[in-house]
Amino acid sequence: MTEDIIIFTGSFGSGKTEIAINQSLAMLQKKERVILVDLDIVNPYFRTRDKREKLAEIGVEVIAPEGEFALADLPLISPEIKGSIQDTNRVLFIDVGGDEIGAKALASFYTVLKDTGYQLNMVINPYRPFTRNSEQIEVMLKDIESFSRLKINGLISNPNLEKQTDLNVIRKGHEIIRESAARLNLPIKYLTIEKSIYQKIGQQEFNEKIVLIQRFMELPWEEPETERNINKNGREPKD
Amino acid sequence: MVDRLLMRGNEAIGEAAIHAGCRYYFGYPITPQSELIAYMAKRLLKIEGATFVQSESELAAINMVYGAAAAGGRVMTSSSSPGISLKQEGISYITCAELPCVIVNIMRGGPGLGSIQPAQGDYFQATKGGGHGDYHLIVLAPSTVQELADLTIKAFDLSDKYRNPAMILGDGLLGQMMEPVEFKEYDINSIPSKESWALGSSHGREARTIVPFNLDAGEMEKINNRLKQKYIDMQKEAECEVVNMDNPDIIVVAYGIVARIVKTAIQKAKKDGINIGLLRPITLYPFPSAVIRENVHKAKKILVTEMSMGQMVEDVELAACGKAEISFYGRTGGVVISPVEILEEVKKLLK
Repeated sequence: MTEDIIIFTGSFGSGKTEIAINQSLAMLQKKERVILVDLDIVNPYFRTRDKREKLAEIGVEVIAPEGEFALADLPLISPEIKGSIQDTNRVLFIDVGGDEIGAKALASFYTVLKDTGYQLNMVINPYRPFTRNSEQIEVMLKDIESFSRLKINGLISNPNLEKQTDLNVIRKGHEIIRESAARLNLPIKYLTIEKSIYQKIGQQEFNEKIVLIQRFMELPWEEPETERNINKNGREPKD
Repeated sequence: MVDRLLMRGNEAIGEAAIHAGCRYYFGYPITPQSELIAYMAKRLLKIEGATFVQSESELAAINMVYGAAAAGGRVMTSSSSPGISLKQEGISYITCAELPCVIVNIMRGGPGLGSIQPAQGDYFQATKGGGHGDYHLIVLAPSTVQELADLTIKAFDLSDKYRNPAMILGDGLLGQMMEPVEFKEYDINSIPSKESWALGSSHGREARTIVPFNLDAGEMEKINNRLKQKYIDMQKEAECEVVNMDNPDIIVVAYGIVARIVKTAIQKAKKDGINIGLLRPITLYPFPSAVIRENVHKAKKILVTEMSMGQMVEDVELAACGKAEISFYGRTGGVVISPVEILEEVKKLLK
């Protein structure tokens, strides 16, 4: 199975965009060419394309609707996406829109992806309204698979209540993902914890791999950490 | 199953409405509030006896609300700025017919089709009537996702209490952002009975009509007088958050999302030795004039800041009765004010 096409799907607001940005930046340490595709046809705000310039400066190529359509609330799919899938000289991350509706956009690449292979991950935050237990998660997973025509081959556990996240919140939420993994017979690829929260709760043992992430989509009243975060994680800007 | 939820503002409004016993929703999608209509579709279709309609237009939706309210249902509609303009005729009719309902406006940049980014340009429209004739809506302005949920529930209660439409006035950012939410116990049996006036089967009683007119001028004036009395009675519902009012150098007045940005500015200002007080109206109608009047003398300078060209500032000026020097700072079109901008404006005024 290909390791260089990594797709993030999941319910609306499950954390796909943040994880996709974090994983693309981490990949820069290993691979020369990293492409991040913003395939979000659902969200009008908080999209990868909002961070495009900064990401490009660090070395992540972002593919998203451009120019006069970048800010439109239209379900646009960039023509470069298909080319980026067929290109082999790169690692490709695809950030898909939420729910089965968002996953529908993936179906347009079904014919290419079935030949190239892919890693299709479902990001789950059990504190989100429609993925609160393993029954609901199964319904969401089946819907995403049927709309995208692709098979999900791993779960990413992202249990959080943003600033109210503590160890108990992570443990209780992660347990639901474990139940789902057993029910669906799928691996948990990793558990994501926000770096600042991990520092607060101290080192913890989980059976699964832990991936620390940093938030990039800040709110206007929060300290603008984005630039610092990207510079810290990314490669030195090329001159 | 977990008890607290991480919700988008738009979703929290939907869940709060259902929590408060709302079983009828009629709406038409528009960015940035479409997640609310999508949420209501997902949830209401699974509740027995509930009705969800994605109508053919905003006009149809508000008139469906009118019908459901006349039949005694707890009913809601939602939209964003241009869509709310389309609903105004219906809102005026519902107010004249003295029916309760909740209308949500997740504001975006205007005027016209405007932009899809957050704004606060509909303050006048929300608080001064909006449609034709003499009337007001009850207008509540949340500033967090939790408050969006709490005030949605309150909007239903106030709307029933006064038999007058209530509006949740939020903005695109509040609708789209995610925060943890908890839903407190709410007893649906506490909802006041509507049997004495609602339409329905007239079997065993006199037939009733609910109409938004009276062709006799004197009788129509009586309706206006009755509405006026309600608006007087409502004044006691005014609410305002008062923050950091211990000897402030300057007082900032802001509502909704802007008040949160001001709170960050307050923290930043402390590092520079500046003490900023904040008055945050939670009800925009009735406007908390008394709280504003009691507090404005506490600083020499007052700054009203909004994501508009200056609308609430007029109500602050009226409340202050000329007792304070009032300045205004605003951004529009969907541009969100930053804490740094507010702090710079404060420093300019204090020079």
